[in-house]
Amino acid sequence: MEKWVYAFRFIGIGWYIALCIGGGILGGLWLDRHFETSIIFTLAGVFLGLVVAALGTYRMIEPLIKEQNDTTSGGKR
Amino acid sequence: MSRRGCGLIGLVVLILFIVGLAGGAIGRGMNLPNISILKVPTLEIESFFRGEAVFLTDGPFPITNTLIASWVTILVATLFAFAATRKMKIIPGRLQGLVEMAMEALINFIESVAGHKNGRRFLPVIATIFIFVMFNAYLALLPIYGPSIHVTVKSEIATEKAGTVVELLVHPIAEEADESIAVIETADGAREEVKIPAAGDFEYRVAVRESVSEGQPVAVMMGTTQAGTEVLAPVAGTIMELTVERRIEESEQPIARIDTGGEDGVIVVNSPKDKLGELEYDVAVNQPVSTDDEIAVLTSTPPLLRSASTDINMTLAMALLAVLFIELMGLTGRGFKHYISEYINVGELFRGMKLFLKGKVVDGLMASVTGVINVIIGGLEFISHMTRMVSFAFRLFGNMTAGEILVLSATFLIPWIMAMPFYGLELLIGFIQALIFGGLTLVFASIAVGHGSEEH
Repeated sequence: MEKWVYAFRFIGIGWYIALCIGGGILGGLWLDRHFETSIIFTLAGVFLGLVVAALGTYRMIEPLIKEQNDTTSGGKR
Repeated sequence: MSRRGCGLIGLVVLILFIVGLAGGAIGRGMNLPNISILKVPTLEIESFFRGEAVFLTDGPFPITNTLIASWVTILVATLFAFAATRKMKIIPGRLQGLVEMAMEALINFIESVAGHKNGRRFLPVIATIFIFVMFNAYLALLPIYGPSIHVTVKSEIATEKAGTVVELLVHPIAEEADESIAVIETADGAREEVKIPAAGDFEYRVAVRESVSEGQPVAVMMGTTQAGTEVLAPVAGTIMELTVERRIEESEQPIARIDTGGEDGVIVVNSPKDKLGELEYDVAVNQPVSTDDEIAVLTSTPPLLRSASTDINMTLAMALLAVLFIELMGLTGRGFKHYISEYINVGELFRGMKLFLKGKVVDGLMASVTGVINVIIGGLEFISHMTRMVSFAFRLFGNMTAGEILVLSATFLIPWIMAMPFYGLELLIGFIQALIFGGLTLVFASIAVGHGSEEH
């Protein structure tokens, strides 16, 4: 029943990515308005959000990738 | 069933479909003969994200229709469980058999994910979430939910500052030319309608029970093309009714401008947040008002019951409980030290710094870099745990609200028959959402405990 666990874990990934990027943008916009710098913080926020989303997603699917590698290389668990 | 029976049912369905097609919005759009017995629901949602307050509206804790619906759900679920377990037998009856089957399926599902020991520990919470979400979704499909039973709520709109009313901003709007805007009763008891020459917003020049002479202006047009055109009374008599209402169609719509005369200049009074309905002014233009004077009364008619999951507060509360449960399970299952080290992982960083200070520069730097990465990963972990809360709340809210709107739209377009497939879809979605909410809590909790797959 390992599959259930993965299936449910992946339901949340889309939300995670969306919230990371959206949060980055909103935070950047707020900082830009606060310090009256035009677009720098927004861009930084987008970038930061993307990086956080990518890293977090990789961490979430890491066990699956490992398992896949184990089975393809013939190692049985 | 016999062939004749099937044919009969098919015929009835076909007739219902044709009647619905003719009487619904599509039929009205195609100018089919309108069947006025059909009551087409209006596509109007007073407040999108939360339920409408129906009792104790002015108090600090208004009772919303979604809250009442969740009480109903609790009551129904309790009564259902009571009825199913009241006379338990070894050989179960139909109801007991159904409940036993459902519970067995739930227990099997939970134990297959979390293992036997943890599964039994998680069962009460997960099963409660599952049953509550599913009962919410299924009860909301009953016809007593949504737009069938309405409650009249009157809210008073007051001004915050004293001054003189400059302009009343909400105008009645005639939807088509020749619409009746007022009814006049003549001296001999006959009733005459006043018709408007063009569609658009206008302003009444008379009040109910006021007597008018023939040719006196009843209303004046406000729109751009017909601005200033007066609508004259066709006969002399008494105004019995002003038929077109002033409607509030947006949350926080401006309703009046008041000249305070002082530093504040002209202020605008808004209608309350998330309340739509019929507006009645208590003041007239050029009338002086003092602080907290009542400007208008807004009469809204929200439904008495509205699906509990279409309130973001309800789903957010459930998400908070679920996340709290998950974190608590992580805390008790792993112990405080292990649990907290998942978020704040500074051990490697300190080790690196210690090595660095001892003079092992290369080793120290390497360990420090790994340490910084660990700290970042801890941050990532924290973010991913916190996004669960938002995703729990919005997933359930979004799915349930979308379902309500879908059924309402289908009923609006072609009543009766077209809504049936969507009801079937809603049954499926109710089950799936319950499974997802309960299942996600279960999976996250078993991951947090850290024995997700060891026991089998």
